[in-house]
Order: sequence, then C-alpha cells, then structure tokens
Amino acid sequence: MSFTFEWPRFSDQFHTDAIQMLNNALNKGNKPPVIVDKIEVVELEMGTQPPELEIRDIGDLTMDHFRGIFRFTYAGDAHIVLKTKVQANPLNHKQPDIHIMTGSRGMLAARDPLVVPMLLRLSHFKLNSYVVLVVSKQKGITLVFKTDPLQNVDINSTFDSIAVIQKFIQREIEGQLRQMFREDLPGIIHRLSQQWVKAKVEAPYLDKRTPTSRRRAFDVVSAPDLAYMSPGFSGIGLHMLRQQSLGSLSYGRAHSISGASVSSSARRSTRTPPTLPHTNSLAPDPSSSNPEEEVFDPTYGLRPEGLPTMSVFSSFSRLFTRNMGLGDLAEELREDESLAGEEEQGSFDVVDWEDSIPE
Amino acid sequence: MHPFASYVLRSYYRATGWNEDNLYANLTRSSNAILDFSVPRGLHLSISKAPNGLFNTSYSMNAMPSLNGSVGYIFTSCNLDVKSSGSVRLKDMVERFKVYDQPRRPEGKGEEWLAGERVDTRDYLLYGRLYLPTGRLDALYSTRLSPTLQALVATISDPRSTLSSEKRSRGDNVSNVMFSLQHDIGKWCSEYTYSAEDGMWGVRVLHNFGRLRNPTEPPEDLNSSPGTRPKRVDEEEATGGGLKGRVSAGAEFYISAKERSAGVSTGIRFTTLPDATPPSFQLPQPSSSPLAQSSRSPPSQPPTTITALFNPMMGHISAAYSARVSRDLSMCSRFDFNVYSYDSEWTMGAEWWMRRAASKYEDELEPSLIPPEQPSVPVPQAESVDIPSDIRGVVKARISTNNNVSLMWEGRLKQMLVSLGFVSDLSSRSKPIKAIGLELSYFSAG
Repeated sequence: MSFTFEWPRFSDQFHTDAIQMLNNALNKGNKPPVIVDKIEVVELEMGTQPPELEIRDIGDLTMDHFRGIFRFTYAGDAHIVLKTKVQANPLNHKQPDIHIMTGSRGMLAARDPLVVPMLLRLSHFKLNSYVVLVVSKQKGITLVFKTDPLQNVDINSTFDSIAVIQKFIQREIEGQLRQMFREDLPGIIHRLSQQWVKAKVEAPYLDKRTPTSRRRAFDVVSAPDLAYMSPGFSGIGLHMLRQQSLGSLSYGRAHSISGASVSSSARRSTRTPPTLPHTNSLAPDPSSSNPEEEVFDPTYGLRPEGLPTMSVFSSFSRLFTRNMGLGDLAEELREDESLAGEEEQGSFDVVDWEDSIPE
Repeated sequence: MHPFASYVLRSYYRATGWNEDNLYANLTRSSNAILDFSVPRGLHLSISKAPNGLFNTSYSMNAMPSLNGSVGYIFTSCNLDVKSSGSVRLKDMVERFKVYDQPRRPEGKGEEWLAGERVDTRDYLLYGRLYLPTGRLDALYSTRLSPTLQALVATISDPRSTLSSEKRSRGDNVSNVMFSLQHDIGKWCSEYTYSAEDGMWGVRVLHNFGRLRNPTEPPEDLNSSPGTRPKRVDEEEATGGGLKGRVSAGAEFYISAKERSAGVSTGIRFTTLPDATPPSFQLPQPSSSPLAQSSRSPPSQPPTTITALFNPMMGHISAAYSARVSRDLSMCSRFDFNVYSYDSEWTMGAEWWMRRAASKYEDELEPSLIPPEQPSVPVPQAESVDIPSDIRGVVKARISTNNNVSLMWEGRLKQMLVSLGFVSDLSSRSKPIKAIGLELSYFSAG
C-alpha cells in the first residue's frame, strides 16, 4: 500500500519562505574560518517528481495519534544552489603570537588572505530509507529515518576543475547531509508541524510563542517537508485542536532515536490533558486572519522567529574539525569524532518544554 | 607582546649590537608602526621593575573586558640600562617611524682574557611570562652564538588549547615551539625557522644593495655641498629633487609537510639614509666626537621609506609610502590589492609628536629651516634635541577604507606611561565606538 502525492510546482511564496528559512538556518552557529561570508541559497527547486511512500507497518492508529513505518524513496530532480565566499590561503589562520614575542612580525606577506566566491550545487538526490512516522494531535508530526537515507547526491562547485578539492567537497558535504537527515531534519519537520498543525494555544504561559491563529487542516496539498504524508491522512481523523502538555522530545542521536521518540510521544499522549475549549475544526477556514491567502500553503505563516534559536544545523560547523590546510584534501579517512559530540542538541523549541508540563 | 618586555628585548639587541632592522620580517616596520598600531582594549595596568641591570620583573593586569593578568620575568646576561618610566625617552618606548642606517656586519664583544682564560660569556636573554588565570606560558630564549649568528627558541604553552576541538578548528591552538636561527653579515641577513605545531619550515632572506658602510667610517654628510669639483664643459646642472637612499630586497618561503601547504612572498624597500648616525645605533664613542652629538639639523631630504610586498601565490600586492614630513609629523599611506579577487584596501595614517609648548616657542625664534649649505659640523641646536622632558606624547591616527578609524594617544603622565585609544566604526549606526581602552604602565630601575 502506498500513497500518491500531488507534487505541483510550489508557489513562489513557498520558495521565498523556504529560502529564507534555509538562509537563517545555514548561518546560525559558528562558521568555520574558511568561510568568510554568509551562506545564501541562490536557487531552490523542488523538482517535478514526488517522493514515494510505502506503508510497511502501522503501529498505532487512534483518533489523535498515529504511528507507522514507511519506506521512503526519492529519486527526483530537486536541486539547491548555495553561494558563499571562502578564504583560500592555508596560512591565513596562523597566529603570529609566537613571532611577536621574538620581536618580529613573523610571516610578512605569506599569510595574506585570498577571498574567492564559491557556488555549490546539490542535485540528483537519491534517498531511500525506512522512516518512522508519528502523527499526534497534540505534538505534531515526528519523522525519523531509521537508516541512512542518502544514497547519492551530486555536488558541483566552482572548484570542480581542481580534482582534489572537488573530492574533498564531495566527501564533506555528503557527510554533512547524512548527519543532517538523521539529526536536524526530524527537528525541522517537527517544528513545521507544530506551526502548521496546532491551532490556538490556550495556556497563557505559552503565549509568548506566537502561534498562528489560522487553523490548518491536515489535508494539505503541497507540503514539501511534510511531503511524506499524503492527503489521505485527513481521513484518519486528526482533529488538531489545542496544544497541550509539551513534553521535551530530544532528538539527540539517530541510533536510538526511533524507539525513544515513539515511546516518549506515546507516553505523553496517554496523559490526560486538561480540557480546554474546543477550537474550530479543520476545514480550511477562508475567513481566518489572512483572507488574501489563496494557495493553501502550510509554510505560510511560518515566521522566521519561530525557528529554533539553537542551531539545528550546528553539524555544519564541523565541516572542518581541524584546519590542516591543504592536508585535509588528501586524507581519505577522517576519524569521525563529530558524531560523538551530538549530545548538545536538545530540544529544538524556543519554549523550554520542561516548563510547560502541567504538574 | 607586553610593551615593557619588547622594550627590554630591543635594548638587549642594541646592547649586544644586533641590528634587527636587517631582518626581512621587519621590512615594513616603519609603515607598520604608523598604520598597524594596536589600540588597547579595556583597561590595562602594568608595573615592572628592574632590580639590577640583569633582571627585570613585570606584572600586568587587564581589568576589562575580563579580569586577567600576567607575571613576567626577563633575565639578560649583559647589563641593560633600563631607565624608569619617568625618565625614559618616549621615542624609545613607542613603536614609531624611523629610518635606519645602512646595516653593517655586526661585531660581537671582543674576546676577554683573564689570567689566561677566556671569560667572556655568550650573550643571552631569557624571558618567561605566565598568564593568569588561563595558565598560558610564554617563554623565549635568545642567544648570540657568534657575532653574526643568533639563535632563538620561543614557545607558547596554552593548556586551554587541548580542550574543545571546535575551538581548535578556529585556529586558536597557539601552543607551539619555534626554533629560529638568524644569520646577519650586513649585506645579507637570513633567518631559518622551524615551527613544531604545524611542522613548518621557513626561510627569510634580505639583501641590501649598495656599499656597505665600514664601521669606522663616518657616515656621509649629506649636508655638505656636493659641487666642489670643477664642472666639465658640457656637464649639466644636477637636477634637483630625488631622494638618496638605499634599497633592500628580500623574500620568504614557508613549507609544511604535515599540512601540505606552502607560502611565499617577496618585498623590496627603499629608504633614505639618515643624515647623522642616530645615537641609538652608535658604538660607544667618546662624547667629544662631533658624531656623538645627538643634535641634528633638519634633514636635507624628508626621511622616507617606500616598500612594496608581493605574494605571488595569493596574488596580493601591498605598497606603502611613509615619510616624516616635518620634525614632528610622520605620515604614511598604504594600498593593498589582490590581483585575483580584486579586493583592495587603502589605509592612511599619521603620527604626530607633541612637545612642550615652551620649547616649541623657542624653536620658532630659531631659523628652523637652515638652508642646506655648510656647516660641515652641524650647529648644535639644544632646542631640537629630544630631551626626555621635551616630548609630551604622540598622537597616532589611522583611517582605512575597509575598517575603522583608530586614534591613540601615548604619553607620559607624572611618572607613568599612558596610552589611550579608541576604534570607531563610522559605518555602523548602532555602535559607532567599537573599542576604547586605556593602558597605564610604570617601570623603574634599581
């Protein structure tokens, strides 16, 4: 059993918002010293082919909670182009402290920087993985990759003529993308689903999180990040009414993630939340706050400040764990100490979720 | 580096007769002094003491932005006359525009014999500094192996650098030990370095064109009239203008097998010759000699230094022109350009020495611009002597197209040396003053 997606040409508004969201996310956190300018998305194309989703197992199916295991494949022609500026002198990061102590300046002109612009194009994504999908009325949507989804990605950059650099960039970006799919993407999807699925937030202490007042039904046509769901879900009867006890969901590591998050969300859904007034139902509400909204686009209303303040793309900072100049390019095996440092990634929400658990 | 420690290091070089101007790394020293001065950030205090001629201690504390401090010790094998901050020549303490004379082959101390044994010791300097609370340790050992050969070992040990790998990727790992060998024969000066942290070998070479000055030969007196010999029939008048000076050219090359990276650069410098031997560079001579007089008449040509640097690998060209345009004002401008990325920057700076008003007034009574004719012996002008109490301070300013405007005043208040400066970013509306700082320093001898 599988789903069919409608994968139209996404609206320009969606592209603008997605690009803005990606720009914000890519530039959060510390950039490695080699990158001297902000990273910007130049072009973002969602492609013409939708992903394919095949149900493998359904674990939980209730009125307000759904859990299932799907097989997700994507072999379309989406691509994204990034631009930034890099500093090309391997000696530029040298600290002259030790030379200043001896009274001279050290390197006189050999450390002068050379800043060159770089374009990076990621295309021909081939994704194939089992995903665990949990849709919950209260918590939103949780999507976790059980296996490494990235089969192939083509990376082109302005340094393609230099084979050593091209191989290096290919290796690095693939590693970063794998990490991103396993660690950052579930958080992003969850965040988006929070905005998209929740209706009014009743609790006063949650008021600082500006919720979108528009009610969103579940049957969304074009939802790129939520593209793994299909319109068919509306039939499951998910009436997302109000936001309740938000437990903290930690998306720490990908290895143990699926079991942990599923069990944690299941745990919380059994907690009886205090009854709150019923907000309106899910049919697309044309008379809501933005009457001019024509296309039912789930990412509209997603405000940049709704993004997690903590860098969800902090793994990009590990692009260069140790700057060894050109020596980096020739190394084939790099000890992957970065995965061990994933502990820091906690909750992705602006609100400290611990506070909002009613005791 | 701590200003007192670098002052002691310079005094040591002077006392042992080592010409540090002859190093390629100091090729752009004059323009750097005017343009690349470092403005203190926050509040710095430092107290130093020289209990005897051989040993100096130095304590410093930074109060803002965060409280930290350092303790340093310097030991030298030869007696250094480190004056006190109340009496030291301000021009010796401050990095400033200066033209150096034609370098000559350094001469070491003569052999000393006592009762049939050589008792002269090798000159050396030992320096250590411990920063608190970070626990970083700086150490330097410099020794003169032979009159023309000097070896240095410098090390920085920073316990913080073993922590988070993320910080290390920023290049913050300063723990390092560096070995350096400098070989100076006057006409050439080469420097070989090895840095252990990145396995980098470096070679720096500087070559001075022109005739090397004999140590005993008096410097050319450019004030003397040039046309004493009879002119030939068709000889034309020498066209006026043009600067007389010397040219030096050098190059540096670095290579690291561990990092598989390399760097290279070349440079050339033209500098005018000073009119009289600066007192700081003289060998000790009887004071009755006219050359020992520190007074000098206004130079016949403005002391000028023109440098050009080129990094062929990165395509970076830098050209600087600095000159002392009047007795108290030196100016400099520099243009950096990258032929590959077309990045460019133009920086301009000035340093202005402020004197006491009284002596300035006296100067105006004197015919300050003596036309460049005889006297063969410069007329001693007591008022133009930079006696320590004469100079009140120096104002340095820098403006650049990329960066900010920096302004600094260094001077003396009571017995302390003060430097006050600020950096301002005129393009930013919200925060025009980027940094402001004050540094107070006191040192005494005995």
